[in-house]
Amino acid sequence: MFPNPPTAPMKVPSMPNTPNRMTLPTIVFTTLAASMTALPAANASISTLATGTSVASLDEVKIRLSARGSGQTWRGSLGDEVAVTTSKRGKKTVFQGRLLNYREVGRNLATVTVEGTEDGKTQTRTFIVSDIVKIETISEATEVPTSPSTSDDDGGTATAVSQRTEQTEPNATKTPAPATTHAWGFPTDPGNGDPNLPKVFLLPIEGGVGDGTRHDEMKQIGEIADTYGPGQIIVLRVKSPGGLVAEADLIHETLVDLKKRHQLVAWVEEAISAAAFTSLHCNQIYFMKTGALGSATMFAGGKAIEGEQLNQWVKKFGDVAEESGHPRAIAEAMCTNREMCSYDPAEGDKGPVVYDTMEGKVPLSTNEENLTINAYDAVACGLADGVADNEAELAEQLRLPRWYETTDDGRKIHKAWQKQLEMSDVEVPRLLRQLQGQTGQTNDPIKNLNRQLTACNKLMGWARRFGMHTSMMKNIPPLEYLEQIKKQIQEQIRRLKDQQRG
Amino acid sequence: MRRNSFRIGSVLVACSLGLTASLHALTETETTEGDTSANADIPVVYVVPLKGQMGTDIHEDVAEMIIEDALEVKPDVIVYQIESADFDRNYHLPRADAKEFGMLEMEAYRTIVRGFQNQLAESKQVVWVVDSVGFASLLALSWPDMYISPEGRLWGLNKVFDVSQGWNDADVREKMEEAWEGIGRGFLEMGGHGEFSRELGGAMMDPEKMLSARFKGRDVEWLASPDGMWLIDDNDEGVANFDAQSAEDTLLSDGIVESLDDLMFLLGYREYEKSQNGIDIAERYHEQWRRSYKKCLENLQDIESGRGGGTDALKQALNQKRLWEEILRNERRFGAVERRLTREYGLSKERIELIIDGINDQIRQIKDGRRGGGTRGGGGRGRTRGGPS
Repeated sequence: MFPNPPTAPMKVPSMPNTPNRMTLPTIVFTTLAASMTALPAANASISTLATGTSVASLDEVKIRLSARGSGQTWRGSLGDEVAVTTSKRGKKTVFQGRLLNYREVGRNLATVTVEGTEDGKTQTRTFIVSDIVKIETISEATEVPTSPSTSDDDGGTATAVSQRTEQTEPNATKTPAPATTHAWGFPTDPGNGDPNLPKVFLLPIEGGVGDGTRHDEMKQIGEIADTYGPGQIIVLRVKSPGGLVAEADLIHETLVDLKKRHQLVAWVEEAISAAAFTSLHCNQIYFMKTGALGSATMFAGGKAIEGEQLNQWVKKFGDVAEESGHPRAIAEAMCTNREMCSYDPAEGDKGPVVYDTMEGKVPLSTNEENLTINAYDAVACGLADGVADNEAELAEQLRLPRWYETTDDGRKIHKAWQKQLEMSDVEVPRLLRQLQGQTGQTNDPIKNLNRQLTACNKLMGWARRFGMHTSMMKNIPPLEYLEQIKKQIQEQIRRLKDQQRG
Repeated sequence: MRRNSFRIGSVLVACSLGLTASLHALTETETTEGDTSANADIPVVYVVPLKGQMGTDIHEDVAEMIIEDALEVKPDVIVYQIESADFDRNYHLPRADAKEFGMLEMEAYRTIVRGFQNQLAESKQVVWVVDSVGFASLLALSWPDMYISPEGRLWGLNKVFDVSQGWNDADVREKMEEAWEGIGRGFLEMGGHGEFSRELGGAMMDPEKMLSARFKGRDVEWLASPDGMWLIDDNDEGVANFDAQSAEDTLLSDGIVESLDDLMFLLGYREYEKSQNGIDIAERYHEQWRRSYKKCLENLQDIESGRGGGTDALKQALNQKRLWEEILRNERRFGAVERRLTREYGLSKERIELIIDGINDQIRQIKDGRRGGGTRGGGGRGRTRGGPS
């Protein structure tokens, strides 16, 4: 779980290692970070995860309904005039209009947006596919509509949902939960008819930043929360030893965006390095009793960054903390030894005071130390809002009547992704060896090359599914490199066949 | 309250605890299955032995089994009895068997502590340190109520510091030190030492840090300097270690006890019923995983010596495959076996699977070679196979 030092005793590396594998904050080579900004492969992995129900293209749409819709598949195009029949708590409603958008959010959740007229007004309504009983085509589209909820306009969906709940379905806010049975055994909605209670979503994030901890999953849970409108609670349960700074940059973008609409809560079991950076984005931080957050010195190739690069990192860390309402000095002291930090605990009406010097009564970090903060100090200095060791305690801290989760999608997203990672742990080393011709060899050279080709193709599949960052963490060679290898193998096969033909 | 434990009749045990305790007689009642007439007034004490190597004998799997059982027994008191020391007490000739040292498995230890404390929160819980040197001391500090045996040691958390010393760059090394120490201090927070976890934990893990204590009324205040009344560590070469006396003097422990009877007496119970279940579960796991591990070592020796396969290459390969598969089965069955073999030989489950893959290749090649060599008249189904060129 935690990085081992390069010369850790008794550690027998069993798999090929790269310098970046399971180290705390690594690589911040600007070129690398810049090249990762778009990260198409990582985004592609979302669609791979969301294999649930259907496939969407630019205008053609295929929607497979859930059990409520008898598993039927509707085929049509964006812009089609449709009648959508939904059922909630036994009550059926029909909404007719033009199909504006279909999109998958999360592993098992997809939404359909329809623009129609109700009570003389034009309304845009977003339906969760699992609520839909039937979709009927009234007339086919003549032109592709402009969707209000394209991928770069997440707020559009939220607004649409918000309008729906506020204007067209006044009761919907009271009974909005799309599902009532979940595998985890906790109530999924307050169920007490209190419309003021927020929806709660929990996303466990476990593992290195770049493989177990990624922006993709955060984005997914955000999109699910968006379907309920703004103002929901998203809890990130953090257990991570840190990882790639380049991925942390993407997490930064994702969380800054999510924070505009929702309340982000970090529930810290272990948030070291880049995971500390992730946690500091949340306005509310709660610690488990054993929680630890900090130690964010960035390094590459075993050497800590210095100079302007360090200054920028310290500033960014401080800015993120400050924007989330956390003491800047604490965050900065996590980045480098030179930054100091101490605090005066709260006294009477006076809240705690944090210093970027050692003048406070409680020293946290001298100019020779890095800072990792634990639960007691985190609460006493005002960084954390409280200590919660289990969900019931967290509910109490969040002033919820009891612990509930509106959907268990966060856990499902986490579980699905962790499963992928576990599978790759088994399969990737095997494929790498096969690619190198170390296993799977026979006495037939063409057969051997074909096996290598198969391994190469499978590795390319993993690389596409994982994206650049996770691939790096999992020692999967870059896609471009694999493509070159593939061509070389194909060429060798061709030559061998030519030789055999004489 | 259900008493799911062993009853073999009442045993009256008298014990003494110094002058005071000698005046009191304690009754320990052991229970057996089938006897449901347990006296509801007698508190049930469930002993959880945390004995042996940290990470293997003391493993999250066995903790899970114990939690499951304790939830049924519903004891009044749970005693975590720690007996896990990397070094024995013969300091002139220490038992430096590195294979038996505690393992750096912080997440596993956190799972153990959080599991016990959260899932068995209905029962009063205390920890009894018979001896603790190494990572076990993190467990010892994870409960607010701690008792220690007269010869008990609370030592060896320098191991947390040591793991970060492989980094050459001073800033990176400091980062790693602080990260590991921060994770280590989390255990002290669990034990209610949060206010002074930085001073106490820092000095117990980091050789450069010092420690002393002073009293403010009945409260102890820990200082990261030698300025306090009770000096624990005034040098920058070794970590702060506690023995029974210094732990009691500084109120780190709640008392010195020689036996469970002593402990129960100090907790205010003159009579108690002891559940044997936790002890049995731990002993069974210990015995089973160690037996499996021994078998794995034998297999490794056989593999290395090529024993059991005769002179035929195919038979040898098949025999090796069988031996590796047996090791893999044992690793799948016992997390402790996997952890141990991974640390000693780098033999994780994934690694063994790769090795088996390689042997499968060998077997295939041998068979292909034999078919290609004409031993089966040109191969099955009329196909011709290319032999080695």
